[in-house]
Amino acid sequence: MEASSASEQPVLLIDDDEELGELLSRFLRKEGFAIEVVADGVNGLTRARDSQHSAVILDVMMPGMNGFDLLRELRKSSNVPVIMLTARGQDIDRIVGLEMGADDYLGKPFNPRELAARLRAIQRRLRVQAAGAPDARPLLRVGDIELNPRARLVKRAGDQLALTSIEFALLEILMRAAGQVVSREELSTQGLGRRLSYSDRSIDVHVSNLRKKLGLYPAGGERIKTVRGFGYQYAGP
Amino acid sequence: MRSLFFRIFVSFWIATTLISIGFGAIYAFQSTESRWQAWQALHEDAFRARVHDDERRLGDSSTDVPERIAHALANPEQLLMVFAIEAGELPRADVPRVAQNLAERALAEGAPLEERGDKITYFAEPLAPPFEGSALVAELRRPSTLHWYIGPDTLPFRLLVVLAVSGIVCYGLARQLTRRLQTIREGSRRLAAGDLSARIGPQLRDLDDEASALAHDLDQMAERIDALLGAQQRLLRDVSHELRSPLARLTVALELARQEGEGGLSEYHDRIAREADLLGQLIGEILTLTRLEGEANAQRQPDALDFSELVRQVAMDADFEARPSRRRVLLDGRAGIELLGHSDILRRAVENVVRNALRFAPAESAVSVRLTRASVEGQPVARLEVRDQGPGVPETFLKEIFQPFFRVSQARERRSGGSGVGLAITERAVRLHGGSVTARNADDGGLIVAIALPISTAAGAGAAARAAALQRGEELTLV
Repeated sequence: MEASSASEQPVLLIDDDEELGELLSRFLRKEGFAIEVVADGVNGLTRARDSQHSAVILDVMMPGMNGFDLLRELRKSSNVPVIMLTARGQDIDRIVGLEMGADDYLGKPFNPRELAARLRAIQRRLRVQAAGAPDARPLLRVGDIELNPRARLVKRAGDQLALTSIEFALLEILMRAAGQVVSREELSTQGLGRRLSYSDRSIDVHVSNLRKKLGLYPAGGERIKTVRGFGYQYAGP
Repeated sequence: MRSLFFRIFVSFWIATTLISIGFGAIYAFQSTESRWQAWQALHEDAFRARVHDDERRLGDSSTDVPERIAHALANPEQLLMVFAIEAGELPRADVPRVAQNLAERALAEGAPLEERGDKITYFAEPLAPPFEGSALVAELRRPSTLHWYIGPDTLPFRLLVVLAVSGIVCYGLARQLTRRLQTIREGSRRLAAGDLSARIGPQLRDLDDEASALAHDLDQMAERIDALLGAQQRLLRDVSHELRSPLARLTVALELARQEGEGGLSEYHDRIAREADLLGQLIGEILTLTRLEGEANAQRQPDALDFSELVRQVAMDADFEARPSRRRVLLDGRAGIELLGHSDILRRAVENVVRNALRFAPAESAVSVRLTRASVEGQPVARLEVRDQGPGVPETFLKEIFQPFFRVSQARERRSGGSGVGLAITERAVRLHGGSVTARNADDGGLIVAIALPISTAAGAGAAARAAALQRGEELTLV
């Protein structure tokens, strides 16, 4: 599947609130997005698997199929960027969702312009990924980790790792700046495509997930170090 | 205050002791004669029994039977001297004349006789065949005064025994009764502390008495309260959830209006947006509040967390956000304070206080955040003080600002935003962690909100926090 067309694919909205769906699609279309709305989880999952989307907006508070279950199922076969719509004030929802592989979250009620901005950030990222010229994006290698930006593959000592697109993006940023500290703000702007907001922990959750997937160096050292109050650094073996 | 235990114990003990003393007194006031008689009667039976025993044994021997009997029966502990006397025997040196005469008379009459003296009583019994013609005379001495008092069969000794036994029994009774009451007390204390799942009945089920009945009634009361509170919580939560959907639609509709609209309406759009924002915030905070109330009962397991780091992050973020409006948040924090808790809840609690302070901080001023380690009643405590240069709060309201929706002044709150629930959330959250939050006015203006959180087993929490941090893949410092 051509990555270049991914950013042009429609956005899939899975939310049981049909009126909201209708309002949102009108709004997003005006903002220049193609959008498809599905009002229940089961159908939504089918649509997400059956066809290509540039992003999936998923309401985790739907009756019937649990939004998290849907996310888990979806992640088995697809790396499509997912924005969760969570209950406002439910931090657990947010963290659990991010750990399960969602790329971002918005608490309901949310500002639709914010949603549009995040969707645009996702599309930007997809376009950047697709457009990379071979020599401009060389293979990144630090220690036993090899990151192939074009093929969007990460290998540890030859074994392929399954990363979400956000995790991949963050790892690429960190590895490119290996040995130097990257601020959380920078990670957010480049990796998530948006500015970090007040008490926003999503970068930390994504990095934590990334750490878990990468594991420690064979000698026992940490691959990604935390710099308190500032950001993260990819460390050599 | 005299405890119930003490009263039960002492009154029963005194009662039984008095009863014993009463009996003892009655006994004591019996005539000396009858007492002596009672004592004698006791020994008489023993004497008779011994005689018959020995009679049976006499079959073995041949000569000097009476002497042998005499020796066999002599028992210095019981102060019995026994002589065997034959009919017509000449007076013997070792036998008192009285005894001998008595023996002669008994043999003559063929029946047991006794002669009671002042200090000594003689008791003569003719022996049966094959020893007819002989009589046994026993000499019973009145026991000495010392023996009278400390012997096992004396009144003072018995009194002592009674005192001891009744003491033990009464102690046991009083203990059991008051222990059951103590269990009930503990149960109701737990209820009062917020654990609505605490039940006392099962602990007192072993005995079916008034105490267990009381416990049963208390449990029913607890269930009722639990149900009522639970229903209230659920209502609040459901209402807030329900409010979300229309609000979400409202927000999108507003943006659609903006998209379509002309410039002239944008002021109204902005106001609608602001109010919608406020609504959304309020809903979120109410839900957090209800969640916190539920937390007390749900009893999620706390983790070890680095409180210093949490405060630092909140302060930094707040400072970043405050800069555009020309205000600062300055942190003076003691590092390395670790405690057990729920980091998301504590973060929210600290955030709300800082946000509140920022709301009232005038432009060009700074909100100061101070974190120190202190000691309260010997227990280590983390103390966080957030201070602003705002107008402060009237003294009478310093406690009430932690109630939900309390407003010092309607107008002021509206202007500076805020839903009125933030500090209530802080209060609940801090209370959940066993801490306290108070507010006071600073001497030179502004409000100081102080949070105190217990640092539980510093060593344990520290080690656990480090282990937890390493597990999360974080390093504590970077060289």
